[in-house]
Parts: sequence; structure tokens; C-alpha cells
Amino acid sequence: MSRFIVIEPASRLEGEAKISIFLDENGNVKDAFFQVIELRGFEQFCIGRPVEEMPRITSRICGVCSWAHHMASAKAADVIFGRDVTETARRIRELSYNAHIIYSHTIHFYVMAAADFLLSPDIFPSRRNVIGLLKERPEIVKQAFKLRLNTKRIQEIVGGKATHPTAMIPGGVSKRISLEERDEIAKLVRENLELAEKGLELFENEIYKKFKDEILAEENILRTYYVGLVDEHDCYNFYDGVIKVVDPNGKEYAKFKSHKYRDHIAEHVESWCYSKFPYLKNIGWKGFIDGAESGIYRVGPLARLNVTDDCFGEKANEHLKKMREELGNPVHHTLAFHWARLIEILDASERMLELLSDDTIIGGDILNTEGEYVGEGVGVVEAPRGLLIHHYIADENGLVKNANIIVATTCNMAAINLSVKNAAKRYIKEGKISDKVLNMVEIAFRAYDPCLACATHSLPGLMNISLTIYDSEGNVVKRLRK
Amino acid sequence: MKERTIIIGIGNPILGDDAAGLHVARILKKMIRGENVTIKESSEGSFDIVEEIIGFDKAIIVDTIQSENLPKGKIVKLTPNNLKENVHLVNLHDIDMMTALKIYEETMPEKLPREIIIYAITTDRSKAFSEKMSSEVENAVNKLAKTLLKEVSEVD
Repeated sequence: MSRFIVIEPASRLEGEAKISIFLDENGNVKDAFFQVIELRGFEQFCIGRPVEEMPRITSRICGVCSWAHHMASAKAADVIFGRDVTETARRIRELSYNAHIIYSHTIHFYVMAAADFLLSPDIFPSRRNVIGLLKERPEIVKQAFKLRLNTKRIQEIVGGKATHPTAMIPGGVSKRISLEERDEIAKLVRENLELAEKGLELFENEIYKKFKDEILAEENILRTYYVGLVDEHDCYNFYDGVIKVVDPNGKEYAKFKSHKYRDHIAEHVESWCYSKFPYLKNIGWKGFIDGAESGIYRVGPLARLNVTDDCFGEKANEHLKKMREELGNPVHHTLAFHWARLIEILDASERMLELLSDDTIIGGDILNTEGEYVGEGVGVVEAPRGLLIHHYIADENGLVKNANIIVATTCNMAAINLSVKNAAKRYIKEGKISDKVLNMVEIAFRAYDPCLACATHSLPGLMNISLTIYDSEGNVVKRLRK
Repeated sequence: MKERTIIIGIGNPILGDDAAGLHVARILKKMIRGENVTIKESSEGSFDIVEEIIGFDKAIIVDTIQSENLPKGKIVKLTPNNLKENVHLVNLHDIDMMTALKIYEETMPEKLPREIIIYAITTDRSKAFSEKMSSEVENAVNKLAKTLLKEVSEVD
């Protein structure tokens, strides 16, 4: 008789998800499903909204990914209004967006993931977190806080607000950067660059050495396609570019402009999960398997560093070379998502310094109001966790009549399921369930930095609060959950 | 020197009842003029919310919670101690507010308000995107605004 194990809710997860692991007659893993059990349909909410309001509305999909939605939405609106963004505005957008990448990666790696590697994986999940890390390694948490606060300040200067920015408008930005602000940002970025190098030192000298066996384990490798934005030099770019696909051997499989995404990406539906499973249309959906015959692809930090020839920055490039020397090119090791994330923090810092070094960024020409209304637009950016597509069709009055949003976590959902299954296989054998299974399954899917709020367009990235209320005698009177 | 109080209403403006905290803050902004009382709205994550209350003597946080036992639209008054039982991480990108508070307690306790009160309005699990609140939660918003007006007036 088959047995099944359900782990729910997944700890440190936004939204609602549960992991179900099915065992066969011999007690080995037969199947594993990472199920998203919430759906709200944000696209429907967008219908009838003025296009120019979309960047502010869509930024509310998720409190954590607000910048990514704001930017992708603004880019879609640029196209709809037929407005080319001015050079100064483009640079301001890219500057602020690189700051957001650093901000998001910092939270994910230091606050969410680092405890997995720097505290013993044997301890119970409730103690394997940032509080535990603060006690054991306070210097790392303080380093992360500095990085986070510096970047938050940059986002405030450029975006008007650190979270839920309002500065991106069709054709440009609403606020210029003054000379004083440029100097302040540059000082913060220089500090960030040093902190980014410390982060990589921590990963390469401590985490990688300690976890090399785990990172290299066959169960933590998926040979998939990778998708990401690249510029005209085949260098990945967070803000803009064409979409490049590489095959599991690292060879370019396709390259196309963002508005052609439907020619290349299709979505598979499973009855047990509200999230869809995008795949490469011309390869086809072959089920939950990896390899060149399967259309499953991955996005995010590791994918970006697999589609790129080089990093933008010299320092980041040295670390990319180091990662490729250790793990190959392309890198298929899922836990290397973290390494890639840290390289990107450094690379984004270098890119920001370059953008700041040119006086164009303090120019006054920040908005183009000229253009011919087109009525349809696709905006694509690299969200911290991967490719993000916003596609709107508007009527003659500029009101949205159709919206399609494909987020990074959705793109990775098939791969996440595979990673969960592989991790479970390693720790459940012949009915023997290792105590490590929960931790290791969590570590496997956390590498992707999944955002279920975005994947289901459901719950914004605010707090979930689970709480128990006691009376004066210490008895439980209410259990509440947000 | 009078104590400095911050009232911070939390929520998402396009998520129906979830916006209750924001609506309480908006009502109070029109009614409270005291220079020792700061009123803010926030749709941010936990770290940001905790950073907003730093430097104040007293913080009143207004939010919504889901209850298995209480009907929608009830007001629950809590302190961080009520929540400590559940200090844990439930969000992949951000941490819950109690964890954020705990981090600040460990690193810079002197900067946190000496009194933190949380008023929570109960909602159900429905999180459909909407700019309107349910009548039950809207009534609770008005009632809580009156309660806080009285509470803050006594201080200011």
C-alpha cells in the first residue's frame, strides 16, 4: 500500500503552499508535489484600469516584488503610448532597478537562506533562522542590514518610496536626480560594493567548502534550459534586452524580442496546482523531467549567469569565472542559485557605479511625452527571481481590456517540483525517513526564492501572522492567523 | 517632555478588508493634530514597519488578522508578548513582524518604543482584489478610529 507524507505549511513561504510526497510500495519516493493552493486572479482586477495607472496598481501584487512589477508595467505602458524613454530616464530606471535587485537578493540570502548554510542543517526549522544566525554570527546579520539600509535609501531617493515606487511613468520618470543625490548614492554604492565582496568571500571560502558535497550531489542538479534578458553584447541585463534561451549544454537555442514571447513560451496546467507551468513551446511539455528533450526551463540568478557571456563588472566577472571553474558552464547545480545571487549583488553595484559616473544621469530630460498610441504593449524585466512579463491590451480610451502577467516563480514552478522530488528521494529510502528530509526539501526549493504571492497573483508581500492568544492563566483562548 | 506616539496603519489598499489599517490611519489623520502624534500608512514589509516605529516612545500598530474563532469585524488588542509564542518565519522574502522586532530587540533595544500595542481587526480568509471593504470591517474601522482618537487624546 502506498503511503504519503504531507509537509504543510512550507516554512518561510509567502502565500499558501504545501508539499506532498508520495511513496511507493517499497517506501521510496514515487512522486512529490509542491502545491500552490491559493488563486486570486490579479489580471481580472486590472481590466478597465487606465494604462498609466498600471505601474502603480501592479506594484501592489507583492510587497517584496513591487519594484519589478512597477518597472515591467511601466515598460509595457511606454510601448502602449508609443513613447521612447529618454536616455537620462533610462539610466535612472536602470540605476534604481539595480538597487532593487541588491535589496531583494540581500533579504533573500542573508535573512532567509544563510541560516540554512551557516547553522547546522540538523536543527529544527523553527530555530534555523535569522534569529539563530544573529546569535551565532551577528557580524553577518549586521553586514546584511547595512547593505539593506543603504539600498533602501537609494530606492527612496530615486523611486519616491523604498517600497511601492511611483517614479516610473510612461516615457520616463517623474523625478530627476540632483548632483547632491548622485553623490549620496555613489557613496552608498561604494559601501555596498565592499559588502558584496565580503558576501562572496563568505560563500566561496566558507559555505561552498562546507557544502560542496551537497551542492554537487546529483539530486541537486537539474539539466534544464535557461532563459534570461541579454543586451546587444550578450551580457545579461536586469532592466532591458532581448530574451535569450540556452539549452542544457549552454548553447544558444533561441533569441527573441519580448513581444514575441507567446511564440516561444506556452503554459501547461495541472489539476492539482493553481500555478501554471510555463515551458518552451517548440520543445514541448514532456512531463516533470529535465534534459534537452523537456521544455522545462529555469529563470533567475543562475539562469542569468548561464545565458550571459560575462558579467558587466570586472570584479563580478572574476567570481563568475570561479563559479564556472568549479561547476562548469552552464551551471546546473540548484544550490548555486545562491552563489549567482551574491555575484549579482556585486555586479549590480559595479553597474550602478558606472551609471553614476556619467553626467547624463543628472540630466533634466527625464520624460518624453510624444508618441503615437499603439494600444498593446509587452514590458519585460529580470525580477530578482527571474524573467517577468507584463502584457496589456488597451481600448481606444486607454483602458486595459486584457492583461497577462507571467512571473518568475511560475516559470520555475516545474523545476521547483523536480528539485523537491529529488531532495525527497535522497532522504527517504525504503521507508526510512531521515530527520533531514524537511530541512533539505526546504533548502532545495528555497534556492529559487519562490514568491507564491506573485505566482498566484494572490497575496501581497506583507506579513503573515500566526498567533495564539492566551488568557491570564496561560490558557489558549484564540488562535489567529493572518 | 511629552511622549511621542506613532500610529501606523498597515495593509494593502487593493485587497479589500486587508486595507483596514490604512483606513483607520486615514480617518485619524483628519482628526488628530497633536505634534506629539505621528500617523502613517504602510504597505511595506516587516523590517520597514519596525523601522518606522524606531525612535518613538509608544507605537500603535493597526492591522488585520484572520481568526478561526472570531467573526469578521472584531477588534483585538494585543501586545508583542501575545505574539512571541509564534515568532517564526512564514514568508520567503520577508520575515514576520515579530521576528523583525526580535532582531531589533537583540541589536538596538534602546531605540524601540517602550510600549507597542497592536490593534487587529479580524477578517476572513478571502483576499480577493478589491478597493472596498466589507461592511463588518468598515464598521470596525470606524469604531477603532474612535477608540484610538480617545486613547491618543488622553496622551497628547
